[in-house]
Amino acid sequence: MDWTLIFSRAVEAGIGTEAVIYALAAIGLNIHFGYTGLLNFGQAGFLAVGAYGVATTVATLGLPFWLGIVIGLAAAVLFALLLGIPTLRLRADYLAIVTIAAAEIVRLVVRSVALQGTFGGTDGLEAFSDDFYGMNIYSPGQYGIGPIAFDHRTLWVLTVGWILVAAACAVVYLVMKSPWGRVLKAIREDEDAVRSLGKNVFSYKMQALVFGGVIGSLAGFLFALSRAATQPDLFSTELTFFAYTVLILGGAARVFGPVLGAVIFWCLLILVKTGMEEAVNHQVITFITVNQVGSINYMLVGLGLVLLLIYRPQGILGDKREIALDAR
Amino acid sequence: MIRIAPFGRVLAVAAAASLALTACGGGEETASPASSAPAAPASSAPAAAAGDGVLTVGALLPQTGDLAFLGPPEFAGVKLAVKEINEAGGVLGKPVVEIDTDSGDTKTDIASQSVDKLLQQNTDVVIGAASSGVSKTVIDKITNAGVVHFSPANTSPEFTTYADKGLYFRTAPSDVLQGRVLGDLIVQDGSDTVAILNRQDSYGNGLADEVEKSVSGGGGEIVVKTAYDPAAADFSADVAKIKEANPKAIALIAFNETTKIIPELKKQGLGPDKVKIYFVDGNLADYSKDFPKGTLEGIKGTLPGAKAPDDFRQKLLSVDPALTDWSYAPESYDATVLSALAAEAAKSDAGTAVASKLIDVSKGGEKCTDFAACLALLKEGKDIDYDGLSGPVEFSDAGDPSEATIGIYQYDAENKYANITYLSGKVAG
Amino acid sequence: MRRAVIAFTAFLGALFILLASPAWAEGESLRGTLQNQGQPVNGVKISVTSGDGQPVGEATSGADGKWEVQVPAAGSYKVTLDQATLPAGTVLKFKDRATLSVQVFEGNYRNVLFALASGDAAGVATPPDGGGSSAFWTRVAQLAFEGLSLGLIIALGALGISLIFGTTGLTNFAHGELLTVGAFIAFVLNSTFGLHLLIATPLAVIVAAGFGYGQERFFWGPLRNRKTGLVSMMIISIGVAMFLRYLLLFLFGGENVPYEQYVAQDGIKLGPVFTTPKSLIAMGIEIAVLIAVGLALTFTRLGKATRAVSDNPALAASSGINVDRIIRIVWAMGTAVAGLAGIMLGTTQILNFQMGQQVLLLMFAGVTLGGLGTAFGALVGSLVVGMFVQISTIWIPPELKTVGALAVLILVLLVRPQGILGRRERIG
Repeated sequence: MDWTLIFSRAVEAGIGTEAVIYALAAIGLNIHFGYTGLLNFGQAGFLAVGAYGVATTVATLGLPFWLGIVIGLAAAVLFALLLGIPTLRLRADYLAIVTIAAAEIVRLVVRSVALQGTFGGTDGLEAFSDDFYGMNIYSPGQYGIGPIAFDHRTLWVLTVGWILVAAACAVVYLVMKSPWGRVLKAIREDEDAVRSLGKNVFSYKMQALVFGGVIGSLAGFLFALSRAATQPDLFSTELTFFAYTVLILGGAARVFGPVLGAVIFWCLLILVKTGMEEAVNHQVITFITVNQVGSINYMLVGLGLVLLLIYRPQGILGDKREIALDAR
Repeated sequence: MIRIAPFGRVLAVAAAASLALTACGGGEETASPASSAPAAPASSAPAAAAGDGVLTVGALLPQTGDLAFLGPPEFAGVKLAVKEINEAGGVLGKPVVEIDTDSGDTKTDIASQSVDKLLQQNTDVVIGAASSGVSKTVIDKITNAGVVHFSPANTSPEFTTYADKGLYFRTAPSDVLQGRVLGDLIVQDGSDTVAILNRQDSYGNGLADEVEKSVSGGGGEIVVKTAYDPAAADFSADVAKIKEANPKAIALIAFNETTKIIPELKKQGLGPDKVKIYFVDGNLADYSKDFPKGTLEGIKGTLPGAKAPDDFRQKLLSVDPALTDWSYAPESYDATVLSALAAEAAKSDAGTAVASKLIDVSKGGEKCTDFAACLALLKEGKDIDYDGLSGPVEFSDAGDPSEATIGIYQYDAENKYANITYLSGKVAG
Repeated sequence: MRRAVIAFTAFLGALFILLASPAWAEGESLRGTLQNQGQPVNGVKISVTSGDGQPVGEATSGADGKWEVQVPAAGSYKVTLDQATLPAGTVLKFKDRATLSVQVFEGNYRNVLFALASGDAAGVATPPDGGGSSAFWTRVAQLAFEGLSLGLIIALGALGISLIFGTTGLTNFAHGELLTVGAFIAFVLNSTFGLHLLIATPLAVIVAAGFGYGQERFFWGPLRNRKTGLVSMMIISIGVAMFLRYLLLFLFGGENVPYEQYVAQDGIKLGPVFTTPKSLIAMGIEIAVLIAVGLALTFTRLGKATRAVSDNPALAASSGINVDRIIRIVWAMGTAVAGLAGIMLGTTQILNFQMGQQVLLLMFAGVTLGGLGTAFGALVGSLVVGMFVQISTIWIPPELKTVGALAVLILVLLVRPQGILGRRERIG
């Protein structure tokens, strides 16, 4: 078995594009769920809106890249508003169902035949990332230490990605210390109490939804740019559930929770996956086939989510008193 | 009440974070990779441009997903080719290394991760993917790493003109040809009203367009053309739409959704006994275990690729005794052999070097039909023209085969398909 | 630009083959077979000219309707059918298509088709069959029937969701997988143990009931006793869903698999609607089960107790109802009914590890539309969703049919958040 491969793949995943994307997605989710107590099961929709915003603007309409980013952000804000108006007055479980439905609507619409000329159908769009890679500060080649290496393109994505993660963490930290952030936490703890103090709860919730959604759309940009392609089915509900696992693993309502969660989640996931694949390929494990490794991986994620919530709902960094798990 | 994290907690967070990173075996690098940027390519880093003397072939083929049924023959084709190449002495004096990975389908991100893994392992040529949709999602990643992307089964016309840096090749012909053959077959069978039910992706839409052109060009009429969502829970509405148009023939351009669509067609009175149904390479498979006898009897279909000769089938069986299907095995075999020959001709295993010689070895020179013979000719310094099992394999400048063979098949009462004839032709003028 | 190139390539390539046929020969030709209603039409003159109008050749269709014209080289040709030579009563289906431009390629034949139809002397083709509007209404009827069929399956699943929510407050995201699990239990009994589906189905439903009971007894019940929050449990149910779904993928693979019996039945015509015997039987079973559950909820002691718990667990407990027992029965019954829905879905469609997940959102839509926690609301809501999904395909592309249902779900929540039969207080 190639242990170097197994460990280097795991580390690469832990600091690589997957971790960055899920860290950003989970930071957005943290604002919704961790701080405000909004049970948003439609985070995948925000990523899709961001990814398709930039991809459609550049690939379909032929407009500049930066305009694509602006359009992607605007689309995320619009999506949050549309999502928020019917749902934010409702109870947590209604909100969950409606957000998951809304994310699915986005996915189904961008993959539809009718709009194939715009969104590319089930294959999605490509050829929109040249401008982004044109800004690359690294010259072509491999960069790394020992077996851990990234090519210049990945490294550029990672540089931008981790800067965005750091910036998002900083903003979240500052915002949550501000009076505005304290209102959000108060809404999570007792919505009626906040209302009785004369605060417009609906408006605060909406702002939180927009804020977290915009950060989610940043993850969408990176998802699309890192693969130089975007496909509708990558933004299925599983993405949202993975992001929840990441968030709860790291610790909800903590600034660094999502980041730590993403790094550990991907590190472990790829460690197990590559390890099992290698074990099967070298006949160390003989009772399963390589094809079944993928499903075992997903089973472990599901099991991990269950066990975490039962035994450590606050995750690694969290504070049990700060998790809105009892809301109804 | 604000809870400000005490200093100790911050420390703990930092410690936990760094611990987590260390536990993963990596240490400190690259939260901000910029600092280590100028470091020269590390010795063990993948040699994207230079080549390391060993030709590494990465198979990116479906083990799971919609096209999983195409996986075994394709893997067997690659494995057999690697075995024969190594028996003949390998490439550049060293045995060829083969790495198998799963390409999944477009519903998952498996292909992207598999490519990462392949690039990590110094792959020079990626053989795959089977699905045009999957290839589209990884082509930028592969070609930007200076690695050859060589598909044995992509048929979407889009790849002909894709900006691939000259690194994309395929041994399967573009669907321009299959669509033309299928359309002509429908016209020949005398169906003047034709429905097309196609999978909604670059493969399905591309082929549907070609079939439509061919049918209308030959005097037939496309009365309805419906693209369906491959993930749909049921297809009754799609079939009802076709039923309304009352066609005499249906071209069903699908993957494994076929097992759901055929019962629905039969239910709504559009079974193969009532209308003429045509399959394509995406769904021309052995359905003897899926349907009762006689369900598919009379359905015709097209499949790019020449007949796999019997001795080739025997050799494939020696690699994978469980094989029952041969689709795209010759194409996979040829793709691997051609890559090896090109590496030998270029005297380098680097992706860009291999790509620069691939068109050369496919045409214009002394003809040879297996790796050992071609290798001998190359060693004598001669120009070679490899004629493979899938056809003469003459690459156009875009890296498409310019000549190809399409087989026409028909289902029997056992729901297995048998060949009627093979047709060869030039893909484009 | 890419499109232009593809179009150009395709144009260049516009043809090329000829099939296995004794007439196979080197060289290019145009050929075809003239048929009307399946009968060959002979004595019809076909003439071919080159692209610039030079005559190339002529042919007359033989007794078998076949004609063939050799052409000198690859290129573009015009093929004309002389309408005057058509036999009486036979006309071109499209009068304006008596001349076709076709491309012939090197070394290949090209088939050309002239669609013929029966018509009067004036040359007006009589429509082949039926009118456009009757075909349309047939389709509407077919879709309504499909909607009912889908709605009933959704209703079976939604019933369980609704009752479990009513009694425990849990929104179970793993309910879709309960359908899949039921379907695959039947598959194992049917395929591995060789039991006929008619025997496997009741057995599988019993096993599913046991699975539901066990799930509550050993998993959800203890979680509730630990005072696990509802949001927590909702996210736990997502973990359970992923675990179950991929366990099934692990065990059975990702392929579509059918049961041993009742695969690809021939359609039967029922008025304007096409269906299969198995769909009718499945719908009969579904209706019977729904009615039975409805009656049980309304009239039996257990049913009344269930509704009491659903209404107010604390009050029910204080009036002597064993709440835990009721919840276990609800879980067992909900899972059994969901399993039955899965088996019916597998029989009428096909088995796949994602089959339950694909209808989960529709079930939620049905439940929400009817009002969370009300069993009868779930029933009504599900039927509405099923019908809406199928009938909406008249106006929207079929692939977007789920979008319609989900959009309606959101709109309903805007104007009547408690659903059709729900009560105001439930929306919190």
